[in-house]
Amino acid sequence: MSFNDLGFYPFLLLILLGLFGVQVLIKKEQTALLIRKILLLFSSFAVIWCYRPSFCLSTAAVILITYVGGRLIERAGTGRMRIAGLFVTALVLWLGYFKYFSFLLNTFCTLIGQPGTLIRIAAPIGISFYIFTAVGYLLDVAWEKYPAERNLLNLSLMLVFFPKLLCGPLVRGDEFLPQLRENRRMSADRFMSGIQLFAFGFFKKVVLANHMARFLDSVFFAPSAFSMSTLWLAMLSNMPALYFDFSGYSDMAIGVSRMMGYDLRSNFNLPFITTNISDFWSRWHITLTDWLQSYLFNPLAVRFRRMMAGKPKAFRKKYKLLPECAAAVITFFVSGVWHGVGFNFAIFGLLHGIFYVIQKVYGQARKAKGKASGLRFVPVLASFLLINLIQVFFRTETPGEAVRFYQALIVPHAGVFFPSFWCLIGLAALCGEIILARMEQRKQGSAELNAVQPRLNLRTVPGMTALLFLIGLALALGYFGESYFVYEQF
Amino acid sequence: MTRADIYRKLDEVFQDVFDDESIHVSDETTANDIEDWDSLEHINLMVAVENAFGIKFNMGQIGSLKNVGEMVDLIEKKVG
Repeated sequence: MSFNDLGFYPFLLLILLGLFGVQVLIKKEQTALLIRKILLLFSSFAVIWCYRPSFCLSTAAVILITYVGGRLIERAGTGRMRIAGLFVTALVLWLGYFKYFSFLLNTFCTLIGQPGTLIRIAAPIGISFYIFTAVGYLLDVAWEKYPAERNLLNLSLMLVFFPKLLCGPLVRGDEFLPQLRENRRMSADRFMSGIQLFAFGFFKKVVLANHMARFLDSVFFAPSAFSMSTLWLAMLSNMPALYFDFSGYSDMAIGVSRMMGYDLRSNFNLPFITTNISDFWSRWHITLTDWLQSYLFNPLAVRFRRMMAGKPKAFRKKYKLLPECAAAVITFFVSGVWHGVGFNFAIFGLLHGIFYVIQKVYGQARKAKGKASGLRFVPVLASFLLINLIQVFFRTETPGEAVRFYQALIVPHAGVFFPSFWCLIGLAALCGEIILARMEQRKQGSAELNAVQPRLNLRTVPGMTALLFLIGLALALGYFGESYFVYEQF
Repeated sequence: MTRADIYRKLDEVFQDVFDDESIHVSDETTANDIEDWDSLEHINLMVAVENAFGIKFNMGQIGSLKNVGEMVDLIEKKVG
């Protein structure tokens, strides 16, 4: 049950009414806080139950392991990193079992010439997200960033709070646990801000992402049946479609949380205005990038840098970027395999890593020669093209399929010319978003170019009319056939 | 080792890492005051500080320092 299912909406309404009822009827603050959290945890497990009742058990096991792990790490004194390593390994193996066991077994069978197995292990919903949150929490406790959480309800909600359960945004303990300890109240302002962000995300998902996905599904299913120009349009719309899908979900998750009184971090910030891979990941799936940087890239970079510390100064200067580049390739590879199962996701991650290294080395060389970064417009378009080209691996099932798509892109052939209206609209919407952000930047006189958040004044007639118009437009134009959020499967 | 000694040594480390002989740090110096001090150079810097003082930081300490003053406090604690 996600934002995509109609059944979710009565459920959401019930929870909002329940939370409001607790806020109004129960005067004793501690009791209200306790009931509020029990209601939220019950709702979160109800969502998991709807997917498969047995998922509740494995989710509860992860919560208990994380809770006990945090407490033990805190008490371990100097051996805390060893204990943390043990618990983190257990959680990662748990995730790996659900996601990779069937794939590895099948690959092994293929290698030894045996028929593969049809067994597919169903991964508990949201497992990639709550395991990453748990790992981050355990490492933070081990690094003494904050104490282990004593309240099991708080820890459980940090991991499985239902608006962010399926696809994030990922939360950090020092950001979300304090919110759970406070008696967060619903307010008219928060509710109005949340509902319009939700509506905005809903529009992006059902109107743009869903329609674009239908076109892309057909084209990626049989690329050779379509003309070259159609394939180029599909290739260039692939990442924007995922953007509308995933940022739509993120907006809805942040919006629902805000309506209930909780703040989640933003996950996207104009990802297509970037000029290189590093910059792109600082604006795309921001909470995952932040996680990977904090818990994988930085520790690896520190370790590799320490390994170089004993080397002569000339060597260290010459290979200054080596620790960072090695850490980046490993991090991007992990990011790739986290995203999905199969060789294509690994290649997707490695390609991002390789281009990160190329751009870093090239950038360093230009800096050393004192060359300016040049025109921005061209690098932005080049980055957009590169990111979409790599994304072909994300969309296709096998390396062979990806290669066939690339071939069809450049080898002239006859095929159906199908300039998808919705992809053109989607690309225009992307440009519109950037222009709007630029106008806002000029108005504010700020140095940074950031995404514009919807901020209608719902206390006024024009504001409320605009919101109702947006929802009406989404309902009238949206595609409500079979669809899912792309990141749900991760 | 006195706080002044730590600062003298830190100046050398900063000058070496950022390739700039004119850098002199104080309690209030932050990443905003030194052009190339981004998240990556921060890692290089912290490892260089570890080597210069013969100490080791954990990842929480590497990521949580707000200014050079806090860095010196931490070095004092570890060396002392």
